[in-house]
Amino acid sequence: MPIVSRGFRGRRRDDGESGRVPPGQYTVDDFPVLSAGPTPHTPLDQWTFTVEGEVAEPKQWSWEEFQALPSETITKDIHCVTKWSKLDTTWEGVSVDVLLEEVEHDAAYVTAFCDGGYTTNLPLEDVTDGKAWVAFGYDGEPLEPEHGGPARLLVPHLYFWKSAKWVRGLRLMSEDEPGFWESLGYHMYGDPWREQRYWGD
Amino acid sequence: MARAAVLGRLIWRVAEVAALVPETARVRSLVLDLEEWPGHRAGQHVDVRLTAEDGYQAQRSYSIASPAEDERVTLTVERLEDGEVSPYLVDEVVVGDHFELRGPIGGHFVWETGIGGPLLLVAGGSGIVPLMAIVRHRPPLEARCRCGSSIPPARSKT
Repeated sequence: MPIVSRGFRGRRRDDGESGRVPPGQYTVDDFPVLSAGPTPHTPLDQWTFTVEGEVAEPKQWSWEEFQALPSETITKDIHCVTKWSKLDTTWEGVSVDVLLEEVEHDAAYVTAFCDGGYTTNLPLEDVTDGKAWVAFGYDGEPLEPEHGGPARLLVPHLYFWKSAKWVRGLRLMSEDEPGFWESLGYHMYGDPWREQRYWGD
Repeated sequence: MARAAVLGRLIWRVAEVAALVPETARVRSLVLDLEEWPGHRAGQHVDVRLTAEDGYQAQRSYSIASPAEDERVTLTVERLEDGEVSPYLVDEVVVGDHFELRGPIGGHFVWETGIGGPLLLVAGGSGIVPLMAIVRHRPPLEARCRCGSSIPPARSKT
């Protein structure tokens, strides 16, 4: 039974947001930037995206090849574990389904790996069937480096640390393995609707 | 030992406000009594949960300003003018009030004397708070601290 904080009234959400904001979250109009380290700046002519790990043959795309893949415009609500949610964000990116079509595999999990060494782990079924993208555009513009450009993973149904910035590839695996924050106290899965913020949630 | 502080489920604890320290015109430190605080490492943060009389709740994360060796946990909070939680913590809370808190959270941006030095700590605005926990921890051989602020401090504490 939560205790009442004397004199706290809070700010109720308007009707337009009800049902769209997970428990413990509040909405923002700006786009906060939180990173565990410095922002990498990989030149596009050196950028590649790789699908590797437990695959028959790894697959790699150059930036140019990646841009030639079929992309889509996605509008989704996003939820950061630090409590902010941002509604109706619009991205352009390539569905992870398109990328995984190119490899033969029997994996159940993926680890996204990034410039700067960041990693995050996800069940394969959370990045397939139209649930995840590698996004390179935001709000009609190229994705800015501070928000993960040139490309970041976009998995909007999970807390946003799973949407790894500066992503450079996916490692397919048969076993789940904790990534960067998942090794440092944060939840292995990270469903905002079940408030899976930290270990044990 | 310190690692154990982040293991297991983080439960909500009741914090009682033991003291209030004004830092600047819009920044205040809240010194909190907590039952069975598991301890923390300098640089970690907590989640604060406020509950209104009708059950409405709001959660925010705040950095811990006190060093690991303090028995009480101190949060230093800056009031955001359009904020929902920070104006309450900076302007309304009085000694003896209660709210809920869980933590410590975050195992990445931490420092302990064993990690060694020298340290260069750079912060902007309220980003100084986790660095204060580091500086207040047993001082390293050498630590330099630089903090930028858009407002002059009303009363400098450091």
